[in-house]
Amino acid sequence: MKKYLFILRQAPYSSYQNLEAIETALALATFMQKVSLLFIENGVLQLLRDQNANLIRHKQFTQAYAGLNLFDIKDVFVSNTALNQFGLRKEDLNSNITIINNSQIATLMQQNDIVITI
Amino acid sequence: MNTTLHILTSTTIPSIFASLGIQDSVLLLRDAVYLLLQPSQIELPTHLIYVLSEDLAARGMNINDVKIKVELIDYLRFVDLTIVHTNTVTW
Repeated sequence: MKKYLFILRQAPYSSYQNLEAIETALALATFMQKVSLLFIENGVLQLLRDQNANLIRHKQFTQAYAGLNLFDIKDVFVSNTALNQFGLRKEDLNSNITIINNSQIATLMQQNDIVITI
Repeated sequence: MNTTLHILTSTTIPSIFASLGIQDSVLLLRDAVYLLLQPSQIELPTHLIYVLSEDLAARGMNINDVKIKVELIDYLRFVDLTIVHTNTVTW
């Protein structure tokens, strides 16, 4: 079993890479791989509650983040630097997310076998 | 006098943003609506900022969270704005 870390850096609807990343993460988790997600920079905007992508004819994929437990993905992190950049607080975000600082991010990257940035 | 509608579409602010014409207008579309989370970057005392409501709502943002004065508009009003300005520039 390998440990995968996905680092998501983009706002949710700026490209389809975010959608493809979460589908890949869920597929890996289904095959019993250990998957962690880390949201930094504009990526934190994916975690805002009450999104409605149908209004802009885009697939509403961010609701998958609320169901990560079902796929045994329990390690979901967000950068406090990015939160501060947008003036967001934990209660603005989807549930079950751990806020970490930059040195914890460095540790997290060292702990994973494969790191994928989107 | 020619006027310009400046349409921002991403979180990158155009370099000329600080020196807009007095009759120009600013419209936030697509990912540019996230700029409202960093109001100090886009607040201009002389200009009202228009925001497309669909793009705001799609991204889980609420007008009540916006700290600066903006006007929420729909697609019809968007068309009006392109007509009343001489030029439209998309950044």
